[in-house]
Amino acid sequence: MKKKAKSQHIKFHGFHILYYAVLTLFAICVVLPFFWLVMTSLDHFDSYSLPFPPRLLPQEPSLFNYEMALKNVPILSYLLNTFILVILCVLLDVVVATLSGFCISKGRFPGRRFVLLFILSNMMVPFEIKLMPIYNIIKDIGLSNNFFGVILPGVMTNAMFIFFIKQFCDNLPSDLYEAGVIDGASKFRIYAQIFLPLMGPVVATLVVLDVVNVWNDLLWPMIVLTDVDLSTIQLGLVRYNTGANGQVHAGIQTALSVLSVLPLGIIFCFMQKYIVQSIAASGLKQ
Amino acid sequence: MIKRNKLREYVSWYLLLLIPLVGTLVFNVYPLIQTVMDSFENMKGMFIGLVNYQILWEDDTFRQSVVNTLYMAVLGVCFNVPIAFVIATMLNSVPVAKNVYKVVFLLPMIMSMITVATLFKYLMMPGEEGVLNFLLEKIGLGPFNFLNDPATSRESLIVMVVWKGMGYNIILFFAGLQAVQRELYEAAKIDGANEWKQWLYITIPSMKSSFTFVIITSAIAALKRFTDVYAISGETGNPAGSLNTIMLYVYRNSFSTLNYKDLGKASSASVVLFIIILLITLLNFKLTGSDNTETRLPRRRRRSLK
Repeated sequence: MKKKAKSQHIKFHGFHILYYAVLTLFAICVVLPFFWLVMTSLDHFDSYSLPFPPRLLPQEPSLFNYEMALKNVPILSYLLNTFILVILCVLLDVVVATLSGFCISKGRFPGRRFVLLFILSNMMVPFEIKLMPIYNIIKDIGLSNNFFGVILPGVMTNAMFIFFIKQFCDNLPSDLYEAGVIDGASKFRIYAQIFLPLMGPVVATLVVLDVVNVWNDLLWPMIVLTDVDLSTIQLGLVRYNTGANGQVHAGIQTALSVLSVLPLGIIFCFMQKYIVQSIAASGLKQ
Repeated sequence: MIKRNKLREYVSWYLLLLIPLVGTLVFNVYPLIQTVMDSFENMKGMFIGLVNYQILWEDDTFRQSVVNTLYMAVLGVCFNVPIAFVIATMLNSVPVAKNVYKVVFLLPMIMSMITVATLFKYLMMPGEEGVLNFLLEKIGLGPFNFLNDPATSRESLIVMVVWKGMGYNIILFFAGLQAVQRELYEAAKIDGANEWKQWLYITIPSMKSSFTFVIITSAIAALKRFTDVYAISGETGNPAGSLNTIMLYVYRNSFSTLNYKDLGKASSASVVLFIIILLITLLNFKLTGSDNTETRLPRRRRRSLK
């Protein structure tokens, strides 16, 4: 309804031409480097370095670079590892955050405010300054070189997601909870069968945000996963870029880069609405 | 009897919250205390007081890393925030195709820093082979050495990071603009204020909390700068240490494969970083007010989440 009303009031002003010009120029600056990367990866050139002079469109379009990348770099295994890591992490993040957010929002128990502040304290202390002690804990419980070692600290301290869900649940009527209690349902059942289904949109937003973050994370996986076979795609890229697989071939490097972005790109196409929302919401939540 | 039931009720809530409570204890409280303790110890685990901090103070590499980190943080914020804000207000003002631009601006967000660094290393390749130098030559500039020259490496890195992160800030500002009360603009229009005056006297003052949020979050992220400099130059922060940051220094002293390791130094550097970030966070609380999360425009916020 609101949208309809808005579209009837479209008004063009003279200065909008200038605005569109600036926005378009800016959009070109954003897209062009990316476009160049994709085009270069589709170009065939024999040398290890890029063709000179630089060209925007491939002279000899071919998938040569991709064939070489697949042959020389275990990119599929990197991608598979990253998929597993992302799925595990997102799943656990969502379960823990929704359950905890629900409890803090609807629970009636002494110390609720303190529990919230205690969990939010995770946001005050950046993960980066606790690297060594956390790594030692992970090592001691035998989770180094294990995907759970990568995701456990994050999942168990995900204050931002918990806060997100808590705020969302605050806007849901408490009567829903009371009704569940009267029907004799346990707290977990009230969470799972009444509240969780209502959290759809906010969970989708969190999932999108989480997928992008986990997919692109470097520092912590680099510390925990020293085993080459467990490398995520980012670790694999670093390994190739630093020349661990022999001399760096510019074509292969661009092809690898494109392959590493491709899965997220596909998700981005379908879920862009949620990506935009997740960012907007993260700002307004503060 | 009633009391016991109540107690059971309370305990069951705490049990459901066990994971984040234990997590906070094990992965936040304990490591923080451990880091602070480590910063007072030498390599053999002996208590040496503030000696590590003194070593840090006298360490030129550390001082350089602090200067670089702060310089790049200020440069990044000054470069990013005004442009992002102007673009966001333009985007808010135009009548059609807003979503197309939003999606395009966000495109770099899905790329990892490693990919972006690979891309910009090629674009900013020194000499005339680099794409940017090739283009700049056409308008009579350059050639620059960009990331390979200590004089320009930090600025080049900021260009790269701003390219990647600008869309994020634009969306944040755009969301903030939706929360500005329409009535204010209506009133201004009746008073005869033009678009420019509305922007200056209504939009900018109404966006105070958005500015605070964007500046503070970018500043904190910039202080923890690691992935981008690591992707460009590895753990050394070359050329000539110009891309050396505090986190890179911490990483080198904790996990380096080369012979840099010194946990005492790493921990004390972490503590210094923590104190800087804590001060900024407290400043944020002071600027936005502690009750901000509850009171600020709840209706708009709810709508934007749908």
